[in-house]
Amino acid sequence: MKTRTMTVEFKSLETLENELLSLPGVKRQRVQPKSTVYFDSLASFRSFLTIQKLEILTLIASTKPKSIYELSKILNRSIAPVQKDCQSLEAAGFIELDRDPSGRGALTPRLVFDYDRIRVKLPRHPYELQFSAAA
Amino acid sequence: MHKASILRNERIILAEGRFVIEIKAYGVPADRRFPSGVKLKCVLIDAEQQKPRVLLDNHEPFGFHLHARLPDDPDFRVSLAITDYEEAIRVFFSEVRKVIAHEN
Repeated sequence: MKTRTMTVEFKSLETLENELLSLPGVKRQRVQPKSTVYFDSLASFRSFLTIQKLEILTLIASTKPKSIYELSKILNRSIAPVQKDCQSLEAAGFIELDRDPSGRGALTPRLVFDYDRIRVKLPRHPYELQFSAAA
Repeated sequence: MHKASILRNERIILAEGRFVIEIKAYGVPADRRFPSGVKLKCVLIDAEQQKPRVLLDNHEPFGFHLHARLPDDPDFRVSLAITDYEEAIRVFFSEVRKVIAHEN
């Protein structure tokens, strides 16, 4: 069975800024693929991807819950923190929250694509091990 | 009418997951509305509160401008006396660093 991989990479704020400043010299477009999530440091990644969020990703992949409420029931957690974690995962690009077509406002969490592993590319620069504010 | 072509679509999580930066840049015909030939939208999102904290973009009739009172007043804009996106990028990252430093 083919595995599909979400890749976590590291890029400092300074690097991102410099890349953007080189925009006119770049003839080819560069659009971040859905299969890559960038963090500014290993510290950010470590703080962000908690065991609770990994559980959420695992359960979304395996059980495909119809709503955050259903997900919270499976997890045996209250809905508010699960919703907060889901919104945070959506903001980061790990999942998408689809609004229920019935219009009742329920959000269906799903992976941004059907990945079954997360690969972490090791930071290439020492500053990516540090907290970003110091950059 | 020329279609805008996407040049950059970047997202990065920073400050231990507290904030997310999203940047979209489109190539557009350089004209009076977009002298730099780039349509830009840069936003710093508070990932915990799910609210934008810094937003810099350029569109009519404002040119490059900063939404300076987010998240409380999204309609409050400060026009920036710049026409090139490089300066806009620098202003945005400067504001981002101020917010992050303030939050720590």
